[in-house]
Amino acid sequence: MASLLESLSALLSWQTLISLILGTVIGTFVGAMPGLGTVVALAMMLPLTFAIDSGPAIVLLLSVYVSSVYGGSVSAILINVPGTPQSAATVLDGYPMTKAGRADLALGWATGASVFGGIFSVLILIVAAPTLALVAVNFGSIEILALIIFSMTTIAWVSKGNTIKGLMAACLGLFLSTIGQDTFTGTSRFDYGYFPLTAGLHVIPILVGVFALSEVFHQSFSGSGGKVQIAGKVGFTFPPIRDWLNRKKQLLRASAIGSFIGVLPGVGAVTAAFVSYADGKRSSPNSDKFGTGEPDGVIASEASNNAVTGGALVPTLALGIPGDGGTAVLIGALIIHGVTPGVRLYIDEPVLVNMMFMALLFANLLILVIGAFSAQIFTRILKLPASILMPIVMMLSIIGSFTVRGSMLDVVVAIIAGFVGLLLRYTGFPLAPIVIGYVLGQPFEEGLRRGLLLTRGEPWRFFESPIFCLFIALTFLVLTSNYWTKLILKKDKLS
Amino acid sequence: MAMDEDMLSVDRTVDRIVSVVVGTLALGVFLSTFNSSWFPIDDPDEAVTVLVPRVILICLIGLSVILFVRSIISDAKTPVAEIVHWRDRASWSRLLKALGVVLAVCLLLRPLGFLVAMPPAIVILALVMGYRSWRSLIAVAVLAPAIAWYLIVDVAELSLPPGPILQMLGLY
Repeated sequence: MASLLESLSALLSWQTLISLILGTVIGTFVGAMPGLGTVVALAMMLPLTFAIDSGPAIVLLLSVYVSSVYGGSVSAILINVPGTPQSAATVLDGYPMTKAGRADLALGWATGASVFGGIFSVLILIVAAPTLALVAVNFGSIEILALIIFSMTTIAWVSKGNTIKGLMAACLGLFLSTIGQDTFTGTSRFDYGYFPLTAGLHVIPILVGVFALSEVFHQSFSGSGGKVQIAGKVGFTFPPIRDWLNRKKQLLRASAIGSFIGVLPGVGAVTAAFVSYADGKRSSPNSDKFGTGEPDGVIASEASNNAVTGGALVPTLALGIPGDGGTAVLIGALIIHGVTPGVRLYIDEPVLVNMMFMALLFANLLILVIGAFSAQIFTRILKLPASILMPIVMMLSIIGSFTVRGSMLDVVVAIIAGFVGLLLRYTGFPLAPIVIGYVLGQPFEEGLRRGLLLTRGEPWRFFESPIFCLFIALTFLVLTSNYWTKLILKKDKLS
Repeated sequence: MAMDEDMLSVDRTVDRIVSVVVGTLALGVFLSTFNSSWFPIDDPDEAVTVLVPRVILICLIGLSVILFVRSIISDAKTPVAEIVHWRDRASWSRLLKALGVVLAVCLLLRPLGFLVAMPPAIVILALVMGYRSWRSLIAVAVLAPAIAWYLIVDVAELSLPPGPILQMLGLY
């Protein structure tokens, strides 16, 4: 109880409150900008948090993380282009509502559903994360190594049908993390005689390059800098409580689906939104109206994609394993601010953990306020063409890379990462596994080397750990799942 | 961002090229770990320092081989997030110009300073991307770096290259 009060008082300090409000506003608006999205918003905000205390800095980033997912729905509803990939399913019913002159109501449904889904998932997080941490407290180096292998395989497996490329991207991220000094022996690796590389690559230039600068290059290449048209007049109408109660089943189902999918590493909000949309289409009494501007469709997509945020934070905070690009940035941010996510977090930093939970709840509530009062501002901002937004993204990317260590090498790394990121996305490589691989690189190496020390250089003795065996079996199942699915389908056809 | 982006796909030639490039690079880096001038590991206990990178690089090489073999034996297309019009000269021209602008900023950031190097870069990049409203462009190009400078240097007390002009004026 004392820790809860301490957390609340920390959250209500003026610096933290300003961070919370600022983070929610910025996250919502950046999320609404097509092409920017959650990871870019976080990557660009991260360097700005260096100058503030760790508490407010973490609150700022958490509120950006939560609100940017909601922001994506605004452009999905108003201009038929999801601001973030997570809101792709919102387009299906949100935009038809706008075309029918009910944009205000569509925004009301999307905002209410997002807030409900977000709060629902935070409550799941509050219950599930400490429980998972209690289980994981028994994990040693070998078990953590197996967990990392399993997580990265899952992340790669769900990479839009490109499992091999997802695994390659994860390996690339892992390799980048090995550049610089070896933390065990102090030996410099892969610097090839170039002294600044002995300090290694920093996560921020890689993040900024892979996500933000690659978007600048992509927009330049595709030439999509035209003006945006918004159909009809835009406002905000919150649907009556009675209507919400009539749709409570859809709301709860979507929130539960989002929270559950969020916990799974790598599956993410895009899948959650489409799974929930499909479920809504099957279970809703208005299923025949889906795709024509049905509020249940908006609820299914928005409640689930926002519920993913809390779910994804469960393995992030409890195990230090990021589920997607956004949580990978959050882990990087926590480490930069001196907080190590994982099982010890709940024991060592109870005040901070409780403050994070409360900040997530408040940020979700703030979304309601921002959504209600900023519909007109959204219409103006969304009319800004990419050709004027991208130079600003470029400027913020260069600032972000430079301010990390005051080194031009980091700017160069960001530019190279941006160009390589562009080539990778054009050749079908998912980008998130690169960053996740980079973030997990050090624990992966520590796990493997400590494991080898413990087993006196005999890796087959890793299989003496039942948890290691379990995760490796799961990894094998994930990798061969396509084969099993095909086999089962073939058997079904024959029978 | 297209709604049906999961459905976009290109043929396997791209996979073939990518697998060869990535595989060759990974092999080159892998072989470099055996070069004693880059990795002067005398103590056998320290040999483990290249163990994990080698494991990762072997995985990368193996995956490149799998991707290459699959690109030959499979006629299915590879899904991508964006369809790229590789032969569109205008697109390449825009991309190269954008890359040139970003590289120029990188080169000129220290010699000229952030406040001098950034406004022209913003103007040129916006023009490259097709923005033509001069008045708002100049306003953004001047105000955005100025606000960023104020927030980063004055409020957050982080450093950005001031350049010779501000230093001559004794401001930074």
